[in-house]
Amino acid sequence: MVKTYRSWAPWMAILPALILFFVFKIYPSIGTLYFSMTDFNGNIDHFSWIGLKNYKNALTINLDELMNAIGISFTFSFFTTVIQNVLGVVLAVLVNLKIRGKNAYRSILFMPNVLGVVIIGLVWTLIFDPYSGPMNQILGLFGTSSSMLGDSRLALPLVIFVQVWTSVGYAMVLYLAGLQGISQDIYEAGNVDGAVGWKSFRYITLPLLQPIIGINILLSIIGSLRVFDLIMILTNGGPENSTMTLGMFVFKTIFDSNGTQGYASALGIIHFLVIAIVVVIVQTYMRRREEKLS
Amino acid sequence: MNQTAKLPYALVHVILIVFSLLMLLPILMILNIALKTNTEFLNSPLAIARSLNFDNFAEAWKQGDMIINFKNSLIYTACSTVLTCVAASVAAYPISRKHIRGTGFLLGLIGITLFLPDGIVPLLFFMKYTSLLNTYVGYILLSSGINMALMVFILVGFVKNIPAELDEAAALDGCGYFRYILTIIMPLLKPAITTVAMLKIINVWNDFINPYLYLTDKEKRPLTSGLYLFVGEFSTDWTILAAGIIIVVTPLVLVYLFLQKYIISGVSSGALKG
Amino acid sequence: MKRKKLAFLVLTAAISSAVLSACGSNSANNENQANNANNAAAPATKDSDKQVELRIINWRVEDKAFFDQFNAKFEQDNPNIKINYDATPTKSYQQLKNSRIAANEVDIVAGDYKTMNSADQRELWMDLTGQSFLNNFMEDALQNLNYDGKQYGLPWNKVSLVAYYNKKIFSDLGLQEPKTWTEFTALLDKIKTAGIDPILVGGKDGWPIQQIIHTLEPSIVRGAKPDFYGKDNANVMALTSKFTDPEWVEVLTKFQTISKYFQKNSLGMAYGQAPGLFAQGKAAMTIDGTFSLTQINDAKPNFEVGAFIVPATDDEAKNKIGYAKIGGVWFIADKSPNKEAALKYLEAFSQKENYQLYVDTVNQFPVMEGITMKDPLAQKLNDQLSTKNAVDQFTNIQNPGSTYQLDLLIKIATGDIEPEDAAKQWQKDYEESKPNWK
Repeated sequence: MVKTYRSWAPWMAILPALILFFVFKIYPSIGTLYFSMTDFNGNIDHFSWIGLKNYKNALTINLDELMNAIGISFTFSFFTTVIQNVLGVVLAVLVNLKIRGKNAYRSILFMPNVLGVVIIGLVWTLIFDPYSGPMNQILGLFGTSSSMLGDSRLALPLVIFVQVWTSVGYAMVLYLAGLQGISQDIYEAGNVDGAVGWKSFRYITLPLLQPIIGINILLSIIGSLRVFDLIMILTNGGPENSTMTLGMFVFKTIFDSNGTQGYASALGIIHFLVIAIVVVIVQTYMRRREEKLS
Repeated sequence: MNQTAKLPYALVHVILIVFSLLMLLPILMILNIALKTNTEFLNSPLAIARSLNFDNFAEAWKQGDMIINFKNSLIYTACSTVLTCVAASVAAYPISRKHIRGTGFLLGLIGITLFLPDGIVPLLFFMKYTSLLNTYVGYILLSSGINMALMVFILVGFVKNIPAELDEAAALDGCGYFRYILTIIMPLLKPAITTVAMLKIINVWNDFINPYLYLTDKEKRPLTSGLYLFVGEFSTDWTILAAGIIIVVTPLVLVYLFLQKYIISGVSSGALKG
Repeated sequence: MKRKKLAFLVLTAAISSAVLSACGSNSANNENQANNANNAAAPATKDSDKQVELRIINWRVEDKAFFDQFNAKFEQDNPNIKINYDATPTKSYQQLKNSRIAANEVDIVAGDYKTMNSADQRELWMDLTGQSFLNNFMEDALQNLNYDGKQYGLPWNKVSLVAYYNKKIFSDLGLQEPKTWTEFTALLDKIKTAGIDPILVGGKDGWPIQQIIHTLEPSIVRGAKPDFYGKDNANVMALTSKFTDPEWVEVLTKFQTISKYFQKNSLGMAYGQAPGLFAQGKAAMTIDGTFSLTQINDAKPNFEVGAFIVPATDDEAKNKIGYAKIGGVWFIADKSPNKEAALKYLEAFSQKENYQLYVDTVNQFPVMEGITMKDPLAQKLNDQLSTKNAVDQFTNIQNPGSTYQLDLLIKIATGDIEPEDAAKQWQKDYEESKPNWK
C-alpha cells in the first residue's frame, strides 16, 4: 500500500463524527453507569452512592423476573432475526430482477419503516382487536376465534410478526444496496462458467453479500434485543408477562415509581451487558466464517 | 438478467403482490378511519367510510399546531440528515481502510454503543450547561449524534466493497486525502448514502419523545409532537389521530418515493462501475 | 430527467427557505430574551412587573380544551406571566417529569400521590400549607396530599370505580342494581346464562385489572379492620398485618369469582377500546373509572347507561367504605424561580368559577363543595360517592421500594394460580423486597 496522506488526515476525517458520537452517546452512557450505582430518584440534590447494591438486588430479588425476561428476549430475537433476514434476501433478489413494477414493489415493501414505531403499534392493535378487528373476522369465516394479543401463547408470535413486518423492508433495502454493489461483470463471467439461476445465487450472490449479511444479522439481533416501544404499545409486556422482553422490563421499572431511577439504570446496564455478550459471540463466529471464505 | 432467468416471472409477481398487500392494507385502513366521524368509527371501525369526511384532517391540523411544527420538522430533518451523511461517510472511509491506529478498538466501541442504554438525565445536563437545550442547533446536533454510530457502521460495510486498488491508483495520481474521499469515495457510496439518508430522515421525522425532552418551547417542536397530543391514556381520539398520522406520514412517503428513484438513477447511470 | 431536477430544486428551495425563516425568528426570540434580561436587571422594575415564563407540565392530554381556555384567560389577567404549558401522554410522562425536574426546567408539575411518597421526593416540592386558596377544597381530599402537617399538593378531582351497565340488557333480563355481593354474583350468573358477556375489561395494560381489586379491597379489608395497614404501612412492614390474612384472601377469591365473567379476550384488549365496545352493546357491564364516562357518552350508545358501585360484601356497613383516589395533583417545584407566579396559577385554578369550568370541561368528579356536574348520570354518581367514606387505594399507602406482584392477579384471572397461593406468593415477594424498602 502506498502511503501518501499525512498521518493526521484520517483523524481529521473521523473527528466530527467522533465528537458527536462521544458527546451524545458515550458520555450519557457513562452517566447512566454512574447513576446505576446510586439511589438517584429524580432529586439531584439528594442521592447517594450505594455501590453495586442495585445490581445485587436485581440478581437476587428480581432474578426470576430477569431470567424470564432474558429468555423471552432471546426467543423474540432469534425468530425475528431468522425470518427477517431470509425474507429480506429473497425479497431483495426478487425486486432486483428486471420485472415490471419493481420500483413500486420496493417502495411498498419498505413503507412500514416510514411509519414509525408508535404508529405501527397503533395500527396493529386495531387489526388484532378480537371484537371488530379484521383478523378475527377472517377467523370467524372458518368458524373459529381467538383473543389474539390477549392469548398468552399467541402474543409472542404476533409481536414477532409485527416486528418482522416492520423491519423486513429495512433488511431488504440494505441487501438491495449490497446486490447493486455487485458488478454485473462477475455474473457475466459466472454465466460463462455455467453459474446460472440458483447456482449463481448460491455461489456468486451469497458470498459477495457476506459483509452485508453480517451487518444485517447484527443489526437485527441488536434491534430485536433492544426493542421495547413496539411491545409497549402492542401488549405492554403481557398477557402473563409472555412478551416481557428485557427492554420492556427495564422500561417498566423506569415507569414504575416504586423502583428508583438508579435501579432502572442498573437494569439498563444489565440489559446492555446481555446484548454485548450475544453480539460478541455472534461476531466472533461470523469473523471466523469470513476468514474461512476469503 | 441471466442469474435468475429460470425463475418464472408470474410466480415472482404473485409473491411480491402478496407481500405488498400485507404491507399496504393496514395503512389503507388508517386512511379509512381518518375519513370517518368518531361515532361511525366507534360503531363500525372497519366498514368503508360512508362519505368523505375531511373534518378530522382540519381538526388534527388545527389542534396539533401543525403549521409551525411542519417547518420545524423540515429544518431538523434536513439539517441532521446532511450533517449525518457528510460526517458519517467521511469517517467511514478511514475506519474501513484501517488508516488510523486503533481502528479495531473504535469499531468495537461503535459496535458496543449500538445498544447502549440512553442516558437521558446526563444528556439533559450537558444540553443545559452548554445552552444547547431548547435550541435548533442543539436538537440538530443531538439527533445527528445519537445514532451516528449506526450510520458509520452501515457505511463502513459498504466502503469495504470498494476495491482498494482504487485507493492506490488515486495515491499514484497524487490525489489529496479529503479530495479523494469527497470526489471519488462519496460518489461511489451514493446508493449507500441515500439509504443512510433515508433512514436518518425517517428516524428524525418520527421521533416522538426526544423533542419533548430537549425542546421545552412548543414553538420549536416538530410535527410528531402535535400528533402526540391525540394519544391519551383515557381516550385516544382515533379518527383525529388517524388523520394526524396521515398528515405526518404523507411528506415522508413522498420524500421516500423521491429518494427511491434517486437510488435507481444513481445505479443506472453507472456510478458504481466508476 | 427534467422532472427529477425540478422536484429536487423545489425541495431544496423549500428546505432552505424554511431554514432561513427559522433563523430569523430565532434571532428575534433572542432579542426578546435579551430585553427581558435587561428589564430584570433594571432596579426600577417592580417584582410583579417582571416578565415571567411559567412552565407547567401535565400528562392529561385529554384536558387540552380546558387548559387552552384557562391558560389564555390567566395570561390575560396576568400580563407579565407567559405560560409554557406542556402535556405528553402518560407513557412518556415519567421521562419528561424526571428530566425537567432534574434540569430544574419546570415550575408546576402534575403528579399523583406517588409523586410525594418518599422523603427525597417530598423535598422537591414547595410546602403549600397556609395558602388561602386551599380552603376551597374538601378536607379529605387535601388530607391525602398532606404529610406530617405539610401540604404538598393541590388536588384536581377524585376518581372512583363503578360498574357501568346497559339498562336495556338489565331490563330485558329483569335485573336490578345489586346492593350486596350475593345479589351481584346472582346477577352475573343470569347475564352469562342469557349468553351475554357480563363484564367487559380492557386488561392489556395490567392496571385496569388491578382496578377491580381496588373496588373490592376497601370494604372487605378496611371495612373489617380500619387500621389494617397502619400509618405509612407500619403494620404491614412489621408483619402484624399480612396479605395471607383472611380479609385479603377474601379479596383475591372474590376477584377470581368476578374474573370468570370477563369477556374472552379481557387480557388482550387495550384499555382505551373498552368504552367504545361497551357502547356498542358488546357486554352488559364494564367496570371502569368514573373518568371513562365521557368516552362512553362520546360513543353514543343506543341504550341508556346506568352505573352503580360494586358491593364487595353482604354487610351494608362495610360497603360504606368506598374507594376514591385523587385523580391528579399540582405540585410547585421547590427550586422554581417563579414560585410567586406559580402560586397565582394555583390560586386561579382554585377559584370556584374556574374550577366549575374545569369540572364541566373535563367531566371529572369535584373535590370542592358546591360544584355540580352537567351530566345527569355523573351527578347521580357524585351523590352516591359523597355518601361513602372515601379511602385511597392501598397501593398508595405501601412503603416505597416494596414489591407487590400485581401480575399475580392476571394469573388468578387465567386460573393459573389459586387465590390462597397467590396471597402466599404476594406476601413472600413483599417480604423479600425488604432490602429495597426506604
